[in-house]
Amino acid sequence: MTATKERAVAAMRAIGDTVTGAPPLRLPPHPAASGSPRFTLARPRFGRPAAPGTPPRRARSLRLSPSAGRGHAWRLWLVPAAAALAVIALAVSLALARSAPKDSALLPGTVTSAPADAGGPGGVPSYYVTLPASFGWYAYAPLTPSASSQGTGLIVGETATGKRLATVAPPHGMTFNVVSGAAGDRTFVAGATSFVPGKKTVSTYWAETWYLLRIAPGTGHVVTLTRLPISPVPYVTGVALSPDGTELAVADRQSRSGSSGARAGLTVWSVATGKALRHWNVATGYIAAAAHAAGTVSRPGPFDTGAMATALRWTPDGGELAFAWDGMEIRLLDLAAPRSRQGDLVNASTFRAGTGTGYTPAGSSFTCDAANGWSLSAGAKTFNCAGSYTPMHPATGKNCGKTAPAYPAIVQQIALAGGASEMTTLAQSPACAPASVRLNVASLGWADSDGSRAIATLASTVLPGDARFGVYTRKTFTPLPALPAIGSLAAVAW
Amino acid sequence: MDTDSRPGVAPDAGDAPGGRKDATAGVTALYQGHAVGLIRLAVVMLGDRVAAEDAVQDAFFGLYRHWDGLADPGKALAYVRSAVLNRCRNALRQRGRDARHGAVPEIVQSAEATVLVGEENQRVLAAIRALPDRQREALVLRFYLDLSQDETARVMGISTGTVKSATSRAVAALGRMLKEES
Repeated sequence: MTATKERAVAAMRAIGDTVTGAPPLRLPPHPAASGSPRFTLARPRFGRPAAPGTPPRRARSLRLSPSAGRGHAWRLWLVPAAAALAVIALAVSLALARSAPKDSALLPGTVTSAPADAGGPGGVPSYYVTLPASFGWYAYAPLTPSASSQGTGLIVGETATGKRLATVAPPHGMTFNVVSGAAGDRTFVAGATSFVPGKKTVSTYWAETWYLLRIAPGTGHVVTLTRLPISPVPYVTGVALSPDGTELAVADRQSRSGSSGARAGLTVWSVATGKALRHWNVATGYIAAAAHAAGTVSRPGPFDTGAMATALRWTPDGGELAFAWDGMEIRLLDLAAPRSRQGDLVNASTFRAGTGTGYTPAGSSFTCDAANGWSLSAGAKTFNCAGSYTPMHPATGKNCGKTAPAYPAIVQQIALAGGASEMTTLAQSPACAPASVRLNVASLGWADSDGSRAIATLASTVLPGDARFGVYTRKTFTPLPALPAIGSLAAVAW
Repeated sequence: MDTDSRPGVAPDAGDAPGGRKDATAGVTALYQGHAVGLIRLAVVMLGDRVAAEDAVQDAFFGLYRHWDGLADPGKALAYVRSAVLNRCRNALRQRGRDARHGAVPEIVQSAEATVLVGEENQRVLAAIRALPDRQREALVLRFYLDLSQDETARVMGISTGTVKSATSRAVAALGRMLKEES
């Protein structure tokens, strides 16, 4: 054996030996019927999977069904014809895209026209980016290819009118599954994973590829989509773009080679260069706003957008990065503090706020459900959280329904300074309400830098039409039109 | 091992036609027996555990879809091995295209894997990945999987003579690359 060969064998064995187990096999829930379309592997060119047992060189076709080879010759005519048609179709579609109406689907990086900047009402961001309302459900129930062509693009819309300005189609072979915005509401980062609805099942193993989405309403280039040089990150559990749009925080949950389980990691990436600027990890625990019950999935799924969108938050000044920890607390990384230089995520951070039940102002108790949206103000002085409350006394009155909501929806602003937990209610559904109006789910989409103004929804799980969506302050409510978006506001990026 | 309790992704042949039950059983058995080896093969080719597992998962899914068309299920391993190689090749080409367009996806590798494999071995593996497709595959199949020349020829769909020349050229090219680097 030559020295080169020995070195090659040693290297291959070394990396091969790092694999000590295989993940469970995933097969589709609805197996393809036996009568599914026949497939023929035409004469294998070099490199294509060869027919098992087919003699080399003599291989011409792998007939995998009895009638697969019939009509093979005339089908060869279809190849150049189909290629020509595809070119013509592409040219026509590009021409149409140029002149398409604003809400038409776009190829990645293409643009269309849009109205001038309308400005958000009452100082809220003018524009939002979100996934479509149909997002998610197709993930585990693959659509037919014809049905899957719709409803997978990112929607760019106007907050004040709810109008869709553009739809950004995902890159070929990919599906967008999360988006996060910078403070200026013109810069967003979207994550996409390798998945095409209707074509294959969701792989258990997936990685997130990153795209910069810039919007410039009122110009000839409303939307541009650019692949970022950040490495694809597997098993993402949280994403947050810094307020200035220069850094992307990504939480992940990666397997430890050679052992079971996974460790939580948090990395801050440079959007411009793709370099990892900071990294922390920890062996046990989850970066997640929702509590994980024992025995539940330990690997995140690619379509758990709500969880990804509520795991991380930057403070408005960009100096601190907060993460939801184990569904029980909000921890804070002060990026300028020496403490944050430790590699252990928990040691590098400090406890800032609790989530779940625990806030008991006079007259009621408040349950902060961070999975429905949360934010920190500048300097992490206040903490906004969507949740519910339990009235101290049963609601009474002539307008009360027979069954008042047990846990009315609420969005609270909690002062964190000085150890006190003084609370200000931004949005609250009445404890006393007609039985038909039970707003029992609050969702927080955005809050301003001091936390006094929020875009939120108070909704009913029974009657979705009764939702109160708009801009809330302590004393005012300005309704906004419904968004053509995914149900939870937590997954909308402003 | 990690678990996944999401609905809809677990193997389920409960109400499947008989042929599909066979497919599920056949593919599952093959996976249980050979998944680790195939992931190792893909890791050698790609240097990326996640992409390797994905390639293998994808290859088995392809096998499952086409199970009914296999003339001889006993040769399914050779088929799925070819499919894994095919997917690895596509992944490497995609990386090449990305690199040309300025978006270079780095190989995601855990720190532990880097330590376990060692810097010198990583250098050799990078050189192997830089070989032309045919040479790289011949080298890996012959020297890593210890396949005979005939078996390698079958998996690659080329003649035994071509396997011989591709392997020999691969070793020579690898020697040159490693010499130039050192």
